[in-house]
Order: sequence, then structure tokens, then C-alpha cells
Amino acid sequence: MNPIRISISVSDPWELGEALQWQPLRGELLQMVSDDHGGRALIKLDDAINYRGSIWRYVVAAPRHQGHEIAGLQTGKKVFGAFTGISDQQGKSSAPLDTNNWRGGLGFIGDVELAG
Amino acid sequence: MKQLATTIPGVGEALDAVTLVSPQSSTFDRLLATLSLALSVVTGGTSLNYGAFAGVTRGGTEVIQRVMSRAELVATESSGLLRGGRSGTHYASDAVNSTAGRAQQRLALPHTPELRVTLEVPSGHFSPPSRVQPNFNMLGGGMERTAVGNVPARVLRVAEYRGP
Repeated sequence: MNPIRISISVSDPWELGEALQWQPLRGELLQMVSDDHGGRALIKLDDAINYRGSIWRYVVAAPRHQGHEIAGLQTGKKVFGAFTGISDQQGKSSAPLDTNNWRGGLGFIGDVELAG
Repeated sequence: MKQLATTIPGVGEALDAVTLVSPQSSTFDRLLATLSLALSVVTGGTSLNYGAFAGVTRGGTEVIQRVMSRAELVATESSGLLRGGRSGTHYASDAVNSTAGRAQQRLALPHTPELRVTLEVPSGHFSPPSRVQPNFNMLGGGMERTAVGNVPARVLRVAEYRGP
């Protein structure tokens, strides 16, 4: 199966967008699950983000608004999303999509869609 | 002139009705239009009506609020564009909580906001409100609207958050 290529646009926080010069983040969709909040997706970025002294190669995407589904990505929809950076160790673990222990680090809001 | 015309029974009520059903109306607009209609019932239609003052009927602006950093405020003011014309989805609300901690919780933000800024923008750019989901260990539950592209914006008020 061909990898699903995606593109993420950053909206907030401002300082992250400025640091990235508002360029979209490209990456590969590795995993997607459904849940009561519209599902989650694991994305591996092509270029790791250096943010506040840490390197982030993996992010977990979740829909920003109620009633939206991350699975909409597969049908070509743009999904408004919340994105949480996770460690390489978690990204390669058996439960990469669990962000309940998030206590700061890379977190941002934006949107995600299939890369054109 | 249009505002005075609303004292003619029927005219102002029609403008209130338009404000109530228009997808461009904010929740706040709809609330005031409802109150205005109620007042009309009491006064027999001779009172001024909110519909004549609302953005959807005055051709074009509405008021939104957005939490932001001081750097974003500078970019917004200098460019006259929401988020300084930067790319990506613009997120905003009709009304944002007045304390930083509450705003962060309701909007499920990964960072503590610095400023709550009230902006006037042209009507028609922003979507209807959607409810924010929990995320970043924040509760969510606030209402949020989205827009894309260059949105002209005029800063009306700036409130600095002080502490959580």
C-alpha cells in the first residue's frame, strides 16, 4: 500500500508559525483510529521540528471541533485539527496515540489535508 | 436613516427577523434581535430595532474576539489583516472568556493566551460556530468559528490577561 501523504498548516501558536515561516508541514499518515471524539491519527513529519529545545518527529492529530472526523482525511477533506507532539519512543511504541499524559511541549492548532 | 425607519411598525421587525435567520449573524446578534423583537411586542412596533444596527443588515461587518500574543497583535494592526495575513485557518469566537485559564480551558489551547482582542471584520468570511473538543488536557466546550484567506480586520479593543 502506498503511504498517505499529508500536509499540515499551522494556525496557533503564533511563535511556532513564525518559527516555521508559516510553511506547511509535510508528512506521512502512519495510523488512524476511531473514537468518541472523532478519532486520532499518527503522523510522521518529513522534517522534524525543533521547538523549545526539543526535536519532534511525530505528531498526533485530532479533530478540533465536535462532529468532525479525522477519517475525513481519507476522502480528501480538510480537517481542522489539534496536534500534539510525541517523543520518538512513543511514536514507535504500541500505543502512540495516547496523549493523556501531555504536560506541555509541542502542541498546536491548524488544519490537515492530503498533500497535493 | 434606516435606524429611524425601524420605528415604523413592521420595518424594524423585518430587519430583526433577517438578523435572526441570517447565517452571518453571530450568537450575540441573534440574542439582541430576539430581545429587540420582544421589545417591539411591548411597544407596538414603535421602538428602534436592533436589526438596523446589526452587521448583517448594515452591509457588512461583524465583531469577533480572538486570543493572541502581543506579536500577533502588532502584525494584525500593521497589516490591517487578521493574523497579519498569515496562511492557514483563522480561528476566532464571538465571545472569549475574560480570564486566561478559562479561555485556555474552553478553547482547548496548548498555551496560555496573552491577550483577548476584539476585532471588526467583514461579514461572510467566518463559518457558523462549532464546539471545541477536549484536547491538550483541556476541557473544550467553547464555541469557535473559522475563516481562510485574507480577512481585513480592525482592532476595536485589547484586553490583557493578568494571571490565570
